[in-house]
Amino acid sequence: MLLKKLRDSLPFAIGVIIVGFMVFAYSASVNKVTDFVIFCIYVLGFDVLYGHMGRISFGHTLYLGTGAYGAAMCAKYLIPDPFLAIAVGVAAGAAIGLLLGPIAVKTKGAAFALINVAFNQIGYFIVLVALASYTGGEDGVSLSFNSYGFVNFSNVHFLFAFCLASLVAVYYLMHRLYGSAFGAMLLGIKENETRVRFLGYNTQAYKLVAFVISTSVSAFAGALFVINYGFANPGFMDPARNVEVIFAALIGGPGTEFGAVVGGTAYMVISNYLAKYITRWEMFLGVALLVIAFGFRKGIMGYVRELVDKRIKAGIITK
Amino acid sequence: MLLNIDAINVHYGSAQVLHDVSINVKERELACIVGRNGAGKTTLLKTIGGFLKPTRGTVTFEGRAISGMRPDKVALLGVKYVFQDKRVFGDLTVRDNMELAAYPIKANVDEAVERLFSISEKMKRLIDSKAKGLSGGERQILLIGRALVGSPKLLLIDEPTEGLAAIVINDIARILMEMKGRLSMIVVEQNLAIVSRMADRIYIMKEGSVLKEITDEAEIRDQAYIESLL
Amino acid sequence: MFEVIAYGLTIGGILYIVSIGFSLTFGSMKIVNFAHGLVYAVGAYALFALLPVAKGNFVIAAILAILASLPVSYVIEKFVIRRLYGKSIDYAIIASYAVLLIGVDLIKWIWGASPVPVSDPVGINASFFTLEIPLYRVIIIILSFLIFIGLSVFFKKSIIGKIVIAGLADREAVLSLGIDIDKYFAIVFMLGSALASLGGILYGPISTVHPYMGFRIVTLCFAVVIVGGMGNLRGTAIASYVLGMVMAVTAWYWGAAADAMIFLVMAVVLIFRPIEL
Repeated sequence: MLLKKLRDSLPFAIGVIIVGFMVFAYSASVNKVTDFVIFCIYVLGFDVLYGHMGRISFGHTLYLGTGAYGAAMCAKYLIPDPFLAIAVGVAAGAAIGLLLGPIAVKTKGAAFALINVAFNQIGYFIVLVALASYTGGEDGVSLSFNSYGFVNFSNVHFLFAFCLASLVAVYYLMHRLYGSAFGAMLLGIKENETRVRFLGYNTQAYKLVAFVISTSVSAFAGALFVINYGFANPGFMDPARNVEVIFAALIGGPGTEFGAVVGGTAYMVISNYLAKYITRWEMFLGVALLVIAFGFRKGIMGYVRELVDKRIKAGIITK
Repeated sequence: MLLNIDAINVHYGSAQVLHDVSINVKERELACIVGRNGAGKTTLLKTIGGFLKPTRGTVTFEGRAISGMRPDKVALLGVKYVFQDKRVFGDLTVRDNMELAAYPIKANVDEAVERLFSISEKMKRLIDSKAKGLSGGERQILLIGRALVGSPKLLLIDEPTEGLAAIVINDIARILMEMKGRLSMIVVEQNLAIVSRMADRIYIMKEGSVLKEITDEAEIRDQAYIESLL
Repeated sequence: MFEVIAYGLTIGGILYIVSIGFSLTFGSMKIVNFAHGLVYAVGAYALFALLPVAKGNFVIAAILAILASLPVSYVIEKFVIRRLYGKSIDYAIIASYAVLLIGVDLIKWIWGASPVPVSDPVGINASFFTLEIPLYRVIIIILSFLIFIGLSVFFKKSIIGKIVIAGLADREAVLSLGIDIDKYFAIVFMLGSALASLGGILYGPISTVHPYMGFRIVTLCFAVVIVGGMGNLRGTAIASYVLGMVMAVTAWYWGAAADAMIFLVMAVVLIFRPIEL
């Protein structure tokens, strides 16, 4: 039936994303919505670890910031070529993932959350103080990127299109990843790692790969942010801002790509628009997190899924 | 009938580990539960003790339904659990261990310690040592002594002779025989010689169900027969 | 050099006072309690608010501030910790983090985002041989040692202390004796929280009292507990003073790196001693 086809259809999901964001961008603000789109990429990266591997990290801004500073340093000290900057940013993210991953993935639960905090704090210190002469310390660096004909990142429309295309690409990749044997492996590790290990699989390797994917995607988002804003500052790596991505992943519904996009958009809408009406919106965020922790655990997509599945079942029965 | 378990089912998540298990224990009776590893013996004891909740069926103690009751409340009713693995409070002394046992039921610590000494003279010189320094057999004795504080009506003992040397096993068996007739006990045991010697009733478990209940004394004392049923 | 040691012991003392509660909650309930940082901050802010009420008398204001923080920790224990304890560790972490967020914003709302001034209540220096050190810091060091001794006696000799030690090691066995271990863990939680607020009160005058101080102390508590071992009381003490020294020595050479160095130590410890949860 139609509903079932839609639920499982990848093109439908992607179509909704593209159309949704375009409508949003051109009725509100292209610049702002570009931000939203990039944030969704970040949430997708975070959700690899949280929704699919069951590990929550309280220090993920480290990887966002690594991508941002990787791109910024490339632009400042090498060539301000946007594509190269992105490549460098992603590579930096992957490198950090490879470096820290073997340590981090040995742990789980609270230990995993905390060791990421530690790494995050160290990284924050490095960009804020230790390498301040390169990174510009608290003020950060401002940059402009080269343009090549119509490939002009200072053009809001092009930038928006590029970021939206990137989101679609990442979304598609994630979808393929989770549908593959690798994705099944991650789920197995999330449910019962010991059993998977006893089946003979090297869970450490799988976890490490997932970790590196997560850090690379997050770094990708970081690099895009730099191109969008035209600057990089320690705020990208601020440990206090981890709550943003955690909230987004939770409210959207951990474990689904579409949920990550929904959650990312939800958070961005709240922080950009709600802040105008509710001055104490950070408290609102805290209360919302509490509510989620106590009851609303599956997030928006979780409940939408349930509703849709119920409808489908009812439809099959009546047939 | 002191303890009556009627057709309980217990699940770990979605896996069912006990299927329609029913057992009975009379007052001052020693019932043994035997079976291979994974038969569900420990699960059964844990359910009686209140650490697991049956998804179906009832556990009745002294006419009162205790299924799903919190383990500390079950203990206060007079059902004491002696865990497998001889886990004692290692960082506390032997005396401290007894003190903790006496505290919730406001029993007299010195009396409890005296009773421990009467079970085993060895404890006299170990009384102020840290429990983690005790050998396996000594720990088992301490655990039994701890459980006896407050004169409980039913003891649940999980594999008391596991991992112990033959001499020590005899010690433990002697202690259990001395306790017989003063209170009820359900003992999970793999050592069939002991089982044959001391049991008043035997339940044979396999894959989460009770295979057979043996109450005939001749059959109980026939170790070879019990072994053949496993 | 002497100054560095003194500073290290002072920081170590404060870390110990605040971390004990955090370590006990972690060890007994396996919950990373972010809200612990909130009680710490509440202590400091309550001190600030109550000093005028106590007519400038630091000791009275401190006692009042600790009392004021008790209802906060009670509410946290009853409505957040106890509800999520045993059900889901992940969500307990998120919930406690949310509580800290809400609390920090409340503090910002009432007192503003800028730091509030709390001054050294003693103000004079003590002299050891030819060296001088603020007397207040000496008091902190002595106080932390006294608390350490007090807690050691409590856990070794009192029945509640022994129950908690047993419960930290083997919860089921304690239950099987007929003891409602959760009640005792709750008592210990309140004790730990009271100590956290004391830590905030003591630290206020020698540091900045600002809304985000709760976040900072919690991350430092993590480090202490990871290095010293969860629920390990002696380990927490040793780790606190060691890390306090690390901070002091680092601050001597490169002030801004003090916090980061702690995390480096924590990361190194985690590499060589990964914890299973």
